[in-house]
Amino acid sequence: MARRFRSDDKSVFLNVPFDAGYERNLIALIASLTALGQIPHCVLELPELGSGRLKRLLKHLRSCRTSIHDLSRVGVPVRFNMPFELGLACAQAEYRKPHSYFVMEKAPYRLDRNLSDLKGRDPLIHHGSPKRIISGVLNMLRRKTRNPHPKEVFNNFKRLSGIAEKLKHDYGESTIFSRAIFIELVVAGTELAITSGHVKKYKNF
Amino acid sequence: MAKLSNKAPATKRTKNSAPTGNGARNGATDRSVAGKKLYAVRDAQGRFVDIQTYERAHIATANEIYRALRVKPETVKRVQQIIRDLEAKTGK
Repeated sequence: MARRFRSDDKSVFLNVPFDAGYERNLIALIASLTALGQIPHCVLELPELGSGRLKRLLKHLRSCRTSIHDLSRVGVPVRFNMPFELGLACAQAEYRKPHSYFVMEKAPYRLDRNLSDLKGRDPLIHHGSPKRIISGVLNMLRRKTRNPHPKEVFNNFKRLSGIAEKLKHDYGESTIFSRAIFIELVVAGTELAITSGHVKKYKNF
Repeated sequence: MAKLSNKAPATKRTKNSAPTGNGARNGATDRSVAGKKLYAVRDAQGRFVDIQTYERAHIATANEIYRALRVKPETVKRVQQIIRDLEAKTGK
C-alpha cells in the first residue's frame, strides 16, 4: 500500500515580508511549492486569538518540516522580524525534530555582510524576480523523480496572479496578505498543480 | 480506493506498462476497460498491491492537502469556479 504522507512532511513555513512589493514573489513561492506537492504555510493563516504573534509563529514552525526565509528587505526602517524567525528555525533545526531551512536574498554577497554567522550557507539569490524564485525553489526542494519544469510552473504562476487579482477584488483588499486570500491562493495553486499533472498520488512512480 | 485482489483486473496494457523483468512492474500506466487511466502498484511477484484511477488518486491527494490547510469544501468549490471563470475569459 502506498504510504500516505503526513502533513508535517509536506509543510513549508514561509517567512517573507508582507508588503505590496513582495506580492508577486509570494505568488511565485506558492506556485512552485504547490507544484512540488508541498503545502505552504504562513503566519497569516492562524487567527489572532489573543495569544500573540510569537506563539502563532512557534506553533507553525513546529508543525513544518521545512522553512523558507527571505531576508531581502534590508533598509530603513529596520525590520528584525525575518532574521528573528530565521533564528527560531535554526534553533528548531539544531535542538528539536528534523527541520531544514533555506535562505533567500535579493542581492549576492549581501548576506555575508549582514548575517556573517550564516557564512558557508548559500542563499538563493532571486534579484526580486518571480522567475528566479520559481527555478530556485524547484532546485532547492527537488524530488527524486517527476520534477515540474520551471516553464510550466511559471505558466501556473501567471494564472495564479490572475486569481490573486480576482480574490483581492472579491474581498475588497489592496494586498494578498490576508488569511482568506492566502489560503485560497494555496488551494488555487494546488488545483492548478493537479490539473497540470505535477502532483501525483504515488511519488515513487 | 479500489478493492484489492490478486486477480488481475480487466485492464488494457499500454506501451508504458512493460514488465520490469523481475515480475514486478514499476509505474505502469494501465487503463480500465472503460478507458480510464489507472495507477497500478504491484509487488515483486507481479500481484496487484494497489490499483485506482488517476482521477480518484488526484482527488485523494488534493483532499490530504486541504485537510492539512483546514479548508472547507465550499472554499475549494469557490476557487475551482474562479479558475474556470478565468479560463473561460482568457480562452485557455
